[in-house]
Amino acid sequence: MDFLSDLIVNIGLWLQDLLVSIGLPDAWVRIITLAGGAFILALVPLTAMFFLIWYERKIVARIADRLGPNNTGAYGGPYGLFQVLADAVKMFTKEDVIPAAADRWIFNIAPMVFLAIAVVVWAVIPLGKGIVGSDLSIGIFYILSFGSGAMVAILMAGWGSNNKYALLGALRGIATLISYEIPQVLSVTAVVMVAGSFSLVEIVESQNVIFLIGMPLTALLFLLSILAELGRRPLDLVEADSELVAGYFVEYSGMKFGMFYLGEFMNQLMVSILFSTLFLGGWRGPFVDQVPVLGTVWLVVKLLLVMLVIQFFQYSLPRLRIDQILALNWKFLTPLALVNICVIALVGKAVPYDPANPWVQTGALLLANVLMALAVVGILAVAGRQMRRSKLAGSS
Amino acid sequence: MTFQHVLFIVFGAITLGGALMVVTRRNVFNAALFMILSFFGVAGLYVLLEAPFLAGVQLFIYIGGISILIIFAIMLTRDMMNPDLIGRNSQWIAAAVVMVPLCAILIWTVSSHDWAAAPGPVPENSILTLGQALVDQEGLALPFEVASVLLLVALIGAVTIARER
Amino acid sequence: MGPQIPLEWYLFLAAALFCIGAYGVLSRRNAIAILMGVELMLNAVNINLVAFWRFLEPGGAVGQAFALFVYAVAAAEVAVGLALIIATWRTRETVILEDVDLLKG
Repeated sequence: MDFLSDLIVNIGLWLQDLLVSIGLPDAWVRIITLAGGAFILALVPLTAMFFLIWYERKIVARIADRLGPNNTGAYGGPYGLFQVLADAVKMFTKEDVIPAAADRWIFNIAPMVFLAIAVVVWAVIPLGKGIVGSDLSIGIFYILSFGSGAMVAILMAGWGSNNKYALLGALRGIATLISYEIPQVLSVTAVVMVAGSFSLVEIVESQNVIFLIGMPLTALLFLLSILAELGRRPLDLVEADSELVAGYFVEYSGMKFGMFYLGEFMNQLMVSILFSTLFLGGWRGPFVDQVPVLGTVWLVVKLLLVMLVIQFFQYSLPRLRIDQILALNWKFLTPLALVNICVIALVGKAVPYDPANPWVQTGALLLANVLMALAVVGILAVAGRQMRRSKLAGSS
Repeated sequence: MTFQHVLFIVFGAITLGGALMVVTRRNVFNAALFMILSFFGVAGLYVLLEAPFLAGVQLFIYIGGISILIIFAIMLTRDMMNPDLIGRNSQWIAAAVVMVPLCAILIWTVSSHDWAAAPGPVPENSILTLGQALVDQEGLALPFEVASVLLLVALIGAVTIARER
Repeated sequence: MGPQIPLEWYLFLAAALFCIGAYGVLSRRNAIAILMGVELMLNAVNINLVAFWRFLEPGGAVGQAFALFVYAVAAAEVAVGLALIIATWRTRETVILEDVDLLKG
């Protein structure tokens, strides 16, 4: 029972003891466990994709009042669980088309870079109590830096396709990504200020009361900015399915397209896990102290919940135009993020964190956030009224 | 030949190889992509030097900001009618003839100095020290504020210069 | 486990990178390629600063902070430089610096 209660850590220790008992020198044991751990860590999201894509398709279908993948046909499997596997096999068998005038190196490397960046950020996320790939002291900053590296992959894809629509989609995508990085980084900075460290392990451990309760406005800012970073509706002019066909990866087919598709989904998974870790407390939950492996279970539950919320956003709101997307960022999100960071810094310093009574600081932060939200709503109402009045006056 | 040596050689090769490609490629877009590769190498060197925060800043600012800016400028100033088929200007031989001895002189100067003995360990909270120094009044608060003003001025200046008339 | 790579190696690397960047500045026709050479030189300077920080005073913050200021200045300079290049492109239709010779005697 004890072994089961901290399952993953115990498996790792058992494996290490096994390797040492074979007689390998210490350095080799270290390298093998690290490499094996990295391999498994990279494999977990890739295989979890099968389940998560099915999850999304079911949700989308239910929102649209239909069934989604179910067991019609021989390949569906019960509840349509094997549908995604069938899609993956189909993608493998498609012909790999490269445009004649495309720059071959750039064209071929872009999807690999995209997928690599989507996988590489998994190294720093605490997947359970004591389970983390590498407890970097710059955890969240590492994720943000590599997220901005995805822009290079998009640029290479758009340019290498030698197709002006792909290039247009890539440039628009990068403009969106760069703009929305600012409120994203600012809201993450607010979390880092309250938690006191960049390291994701410490951010989770400092959430005796989850940050969603203390800083709901920051969480909302983060959610909106990562919706744009993902390139998903309603902010998805990058890959507008019915307009630009597929944006920057219109010229890709077969497995390369599969890599882009997978990379986009892994980005979605990544931001869901990031949101769960930063704002929902990561692996925290009831009974985690007694049975540490429950931490991973709680993380998966929170992850599915966040993905549900993101997909509600996606499939029920109409698409925004590119100037509306950028206006939303520069005129609303960025000033709000700046004000948010100032207010949280003041409140966080004025009401210090008291480990015995964490609700004091949380309550103060919550009050500040609610006041800011009311102020924002008030400003928007006044501005909206003025705009309507000027429109009426102008038209009459 | 420890692991650190191997890493240094790999990252150094990426950095210098990328830099050589940057200054010799005719196609300026390819040169920009090699520059991004070179920046990755430099970020790896920062990690070897136990400055992870600076490695993150390198990725964020150089690869996620400056490189994108340079690539945008390349796309905006592409001349389809007379593409630049030469790449090197008329004084490239003179430049090479000057640079190689300069590199040799720099290397000779560095190696002829006797640097101090063993370096101390990096403290655990170097990021905390850095952050505190940046806002410390007797520390680096003034350069920090001046750098912010510089960035603001550059932002306004760049927008003004590049505006459509 | 201290650094097993002596300080001189980093300084050699930075010197080589600096000279490659300087060669790029002096020998390229395209103005943007010249700017890329300048960026390589700034990176070399940063490597120097961080290496000195690590080997001479790892407990302080001045080395890393100096590198951060170099980043800020580099970003500002690239922004203004590219704005100038774009303005040049708009009026003279070329970014090859040898052709921008209105003031030539």
